[in-house]
Amino acid sequence: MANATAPRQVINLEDTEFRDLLVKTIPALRAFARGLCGNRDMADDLAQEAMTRAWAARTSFAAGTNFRAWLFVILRNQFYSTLRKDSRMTSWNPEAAERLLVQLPSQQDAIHVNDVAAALQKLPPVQREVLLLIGASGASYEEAAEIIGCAIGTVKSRLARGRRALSELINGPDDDALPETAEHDLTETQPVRL
Amino acid sequence: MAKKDAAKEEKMIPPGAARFDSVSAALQLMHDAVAAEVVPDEFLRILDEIDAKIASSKRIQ
Repeated sequence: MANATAPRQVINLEDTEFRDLLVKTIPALRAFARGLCGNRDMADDLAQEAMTRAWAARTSFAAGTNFRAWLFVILRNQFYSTLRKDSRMTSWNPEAAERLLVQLPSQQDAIHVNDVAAALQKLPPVQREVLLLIGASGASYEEAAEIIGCAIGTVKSRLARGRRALSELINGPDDDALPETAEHDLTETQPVRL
Repeated sequence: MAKKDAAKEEKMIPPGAARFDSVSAALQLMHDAVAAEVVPDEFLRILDEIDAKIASSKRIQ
């Protein structure tokens, strides 16, 4: 009978395979970082730091598991660590945003991407990250829960609250309910262990 | 019949859901716009450093 307390054997990738995965994930990593920080330079610094840390920790990545989720955990941990020290991370810089128009055929009122991006920065980070992972990066509930280190039910409820708050910040409230405001509660942002 | 079902479905959309569709599209566009950017040189420098480390470890082996 196998010893349940024995350390799990991690099968590592070759360094070149790891490097190739890193290269492929850079665009998604930068996009996630940009959404979290709302600032291009800070986001790229964060993504570069995550890359460097990922390389240093490459022996803890198990081949065949979700590389993007693993790398996003590193970036997310780094983001919250920096956020605790630097409040500038939460400020949105409209000059850095490209003003792109989004209009669906069925909709009369167009919205601008940088309006959404600005509203996103007013949300609590725990709601912002779920919207970015699922709404922007296309992660599944399971993948988002793995990255955030919480239950799938928590992801779903944060997503629902985040969607409602974001929509209300952009379009105004639907009903009597008040939008959730720019409270930056970091109590639920403990680092996720790799 | 299909028309009837479609009308029923439309009625079931909660208030605000249609408005969120454009927000959702904007989130995806934000992501795609960044992902389509040319990767800055700083990232390539990190990759160069990694390549150098890989080459160095191969030489040692």
